[in-house]
Amino acid sequence: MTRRSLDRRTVLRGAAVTLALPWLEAMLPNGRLGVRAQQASPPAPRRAVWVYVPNGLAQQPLKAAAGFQLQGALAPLAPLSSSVLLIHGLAQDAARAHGDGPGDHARACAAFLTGVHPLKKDGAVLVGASADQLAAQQIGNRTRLRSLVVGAEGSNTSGQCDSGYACAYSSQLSWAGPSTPAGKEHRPMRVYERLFLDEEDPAFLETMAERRARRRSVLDFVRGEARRLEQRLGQADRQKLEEYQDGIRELERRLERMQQGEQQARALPAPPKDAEKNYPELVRAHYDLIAMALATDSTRIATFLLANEGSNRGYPHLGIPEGHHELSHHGKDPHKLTQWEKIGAWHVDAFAAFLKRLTELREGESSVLDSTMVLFGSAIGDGNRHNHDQLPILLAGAVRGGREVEFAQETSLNRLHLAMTAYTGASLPRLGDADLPLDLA
Amino acid sequence: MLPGNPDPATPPAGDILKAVISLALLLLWSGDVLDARAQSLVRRHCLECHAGAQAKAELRFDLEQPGAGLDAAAWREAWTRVHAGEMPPRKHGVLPPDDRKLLLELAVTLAGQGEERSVLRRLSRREYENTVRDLFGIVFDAREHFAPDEIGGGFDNQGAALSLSEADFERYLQAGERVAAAAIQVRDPGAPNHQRVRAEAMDGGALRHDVRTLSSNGQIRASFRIEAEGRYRVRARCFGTQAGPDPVRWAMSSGGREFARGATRATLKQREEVMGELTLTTGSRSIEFAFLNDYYKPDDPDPRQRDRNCHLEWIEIEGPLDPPRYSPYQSAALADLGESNLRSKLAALATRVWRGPVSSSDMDALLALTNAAHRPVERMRSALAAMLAAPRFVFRVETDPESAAPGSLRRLNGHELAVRLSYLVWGSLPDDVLLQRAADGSLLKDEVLEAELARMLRDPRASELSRSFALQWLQLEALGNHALDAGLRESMLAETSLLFECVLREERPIRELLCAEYSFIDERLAALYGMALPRGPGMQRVALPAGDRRGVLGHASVLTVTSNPTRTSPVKRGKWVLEVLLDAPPPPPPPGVGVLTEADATGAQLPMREQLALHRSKPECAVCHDRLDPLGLGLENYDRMGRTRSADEGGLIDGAGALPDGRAFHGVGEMAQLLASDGALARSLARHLMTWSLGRSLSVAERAALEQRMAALDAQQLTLPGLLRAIVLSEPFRTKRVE
Repeated sequence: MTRRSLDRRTVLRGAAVTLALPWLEAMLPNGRLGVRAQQASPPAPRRAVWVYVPNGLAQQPLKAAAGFQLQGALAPLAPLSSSVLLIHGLAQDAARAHGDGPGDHARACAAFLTGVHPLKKDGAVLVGASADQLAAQQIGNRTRLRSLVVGAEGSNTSGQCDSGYACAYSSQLSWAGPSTPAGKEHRPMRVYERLFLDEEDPAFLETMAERRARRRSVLDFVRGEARRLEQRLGQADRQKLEEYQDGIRELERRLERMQQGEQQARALPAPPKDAEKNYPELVRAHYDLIAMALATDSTRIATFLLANEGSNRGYPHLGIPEGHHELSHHGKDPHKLTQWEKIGAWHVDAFAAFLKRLTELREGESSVLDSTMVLFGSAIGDGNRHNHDQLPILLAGAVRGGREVEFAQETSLNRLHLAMTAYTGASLPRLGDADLPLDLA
Repeated sequence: MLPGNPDPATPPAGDILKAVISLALLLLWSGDVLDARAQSLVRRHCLECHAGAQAKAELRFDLEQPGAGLDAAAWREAWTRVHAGEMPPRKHGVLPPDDRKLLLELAVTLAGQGEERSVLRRLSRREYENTVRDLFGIVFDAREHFAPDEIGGGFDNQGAALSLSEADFERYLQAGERVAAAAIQVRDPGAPNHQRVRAEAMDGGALRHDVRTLSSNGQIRASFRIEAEGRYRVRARCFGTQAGPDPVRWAMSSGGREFARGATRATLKQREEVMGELTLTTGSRSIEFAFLNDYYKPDDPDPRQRDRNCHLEWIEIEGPLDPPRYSPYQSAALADLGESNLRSKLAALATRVWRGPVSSSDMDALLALTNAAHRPVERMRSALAAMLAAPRFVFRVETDPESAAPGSLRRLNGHELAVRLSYLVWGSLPDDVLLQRAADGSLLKDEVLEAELARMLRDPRASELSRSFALQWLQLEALGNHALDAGLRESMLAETSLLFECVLREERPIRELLCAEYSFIDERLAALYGMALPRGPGMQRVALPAGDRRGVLGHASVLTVTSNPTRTSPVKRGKWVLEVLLDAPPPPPPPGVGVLTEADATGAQLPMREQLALHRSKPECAVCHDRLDPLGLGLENYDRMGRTRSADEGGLIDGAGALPDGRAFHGVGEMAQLLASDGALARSLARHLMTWSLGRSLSVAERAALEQRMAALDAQQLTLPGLLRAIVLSEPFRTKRVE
């Protein structure tokens, strides 16, 4: 304890020194102190986002051409290729039948983030807590919302959806506990309200900006109080009070960052009223809301289920009236195969637009994407085979991108989740069959 | 309840401390080599093992050097070990009492001072909750809101351990806002409200007509907007498609936390309202209704017996059921509040919240948070939110006057003493009477301090000692880590807490904690102990049958918390006795020692007593386990949950045991008698209470002074109020070392 706070104080003292530097810097001919001055801006919060595509993406893992040229379905990601890492060889063993017979869609979705083989019994619901929620339990108290769990289709929390599996399995990625889905929200307006209205105090229904202003004045007040008190305290007491003052400083920085984030978030379009009627609009609205939530540091953990696993929706805006699930069972039929891949490519395109949005949202010198690990993928490889290995997985943002890595076959996807949660500062001893984070260096 | 005059057997605290100091001065060789008498003492009892290159435990005496070659920290360690009776080891013979006394005094002198520095104490979560409750009558769930408090020295209120991380700070701000919003209500807090959410406005299940249906296990969610925190009654109108042997089982939860469950035989034609109650905080809150026992047998010959489903028509909430009534402070703050009296009313409130006087500039700063465009009630609320986040509320501040000489002991002022006293007894802030005694300075007088303590002990709030201090001292909060039925766990804790409460309130001798021939049990404990059911519901006071289940050593709580999940652990039980009852904790096991194996080399299961004996045959284990095991073996007649037994897997159990000083006993009853008779229990309790009250560990000088003081009290007749009186009158409780 002592050592930790001592370290923190040392760091802060360093920060205070550099904070005083800008005028000095201005007096120097060519800003030689620029680098140090830059260190004074507070470290950006570290976040993780999981985006899940149902029904698989392609027959074979999507690969880049020589020189990491992103082509085909991956082409929309080309402008961002330096922050994209293609990961091959991952498997989610918990999604396999293990004697339970059919129901790969339900199993894939339920196992994707939990790493637990879901129970198949009379529509019972028993799987495990998911990586994002376990991380949110640890780091969620640092933000207003512990996590943001959204999907572009509503949830069925009961009933059977896939060969005897409870519907919850195929409509929920995030699980607070083994039988408790985290409560996915599919209505963008509700998400918007949660982000921008104060739920704590319904009597006021004040906006984020109003609350921030009020918090500022209280912060000024308690800072003054602490300062006056400090002068009258002995050494040991002062050290304790310093923890409190560190807290004030940390919150001030957070408020500043949130203000910057909020100004940018405000510039983003609010979700259209009729978003739910138009699927592409709906997907874009949810992506925007996740971006807003991250930029305002309202949460650091988000999951997005693009459609329930096994979804059979058509994509009329692509000229595809047939259902997605139906097409995924292409049986190598050229027409079905083309249509199915077209849907996959469209999802990659929408995802690329989301990444671009995150690069445009600035935090000091860097972008929101720079401190966010974003996973895009599925726990089904080829929709026709329902394979749960060689999964289509890509990671973007806070990762050494511009390359692809090939892990040994059957490397657990759960290890990637452990790496992502560790990045946010959470420490999960294990997830499903994995206890060692994937080395992404 | 307490005599008005100080107990004649209780010399004033200052005198004892002076006596110790003067003795110490005689023995203080001004940092020089020890005098002949002291040298001879060390030579006779320590040098055989602790000298030269082979010195054990790296403790190396050198009589040629000042302080016999040990620094202050080493002398502190020496004091602790000699005091605990560990050193010199018993195999070297018993230390003559006079030598022991001198050796301890020598160690106190050379251990020096300065480790008793107190640090700023943050309110623990428990104290925060109590304080808000006593200020405004508001139940604020601080345990849910704040990160867990670090435990120091076994207690949750130790200044050094109670840290505050950067992320926690915002939680204080939020807590202040929430408490202020609940405390300073703009509208009438009493008006309860009804809200009903119909099936079509819910999520989950399948909506058919006006009903939501769960055709397999799952849940339906309804969202409510809660404007006033408090208890709410929840009604859900539901029915089942009944099939199979059981009725439809349901559960209701809020945000995943279950608050009611049951079964219903209701049908489409005969719907039923099921109910539950829970506490809701303000904001948007969800209520989930779950179907728990889906049943599906498609081949049943009777088509009506094939499929069980659950249907929900609406969920309604009503509340708050306990409309928050204004506490006296709220009433005073809010009655006739206007522009003209805002400042004076705010000052009165701030005096309470900050537990001491406030200045005019404090008022200026609080009022500057808002401006005249705001209504007085809003200004009051904003100011309160800020006060609750300010260091004067979050911490218990004791500032030294400028005139005080650094390093000296200064007496606390009235307000500081009042705060120490109220958090000791109530775990909460001083009330008006106590603040008054603090303000007029009368609290600094012994007789007023004693009278206030007596008054506070009569107050219901003093049960905090039985609930929090007692359970922490007895290490029973760890029972939460044991896999137990929640109800049984509650009963176990209640039994022990109630015994402490009884000894406290009825001013019974402290030794009854170990020897009580009565206890407090309910039907769960009666079943566990194999006793007759108590008359009446809940915990009942009963006389214990003949046998040796007496006092806390016979409580299921203690016997369970000191056991492993599948078997008893005499070692853990011995450790518990040493730490809790004798205040002589064993040092941690050296690195690299193995764990107890349950079988000998041949693989045969040995009786526990023989397993442990095998274990003690290793010298590196024996040094501590010779003290630990015989204590724990004496408790073997109780199994891992405190049930009486006369045999275990290893055969018949023999309850023979021994205290660390060698006194033998047979069974728990004799053990308790021994521990209670010589005041060891009272001394341990005194040291633990002292640590609890000061929020820090004691220096060896303070411990020695406390022992002196305890020696002057009649251990057989000493009561908890008597002990508390000795503590609040003691020097450390009423002084602070100036920094």
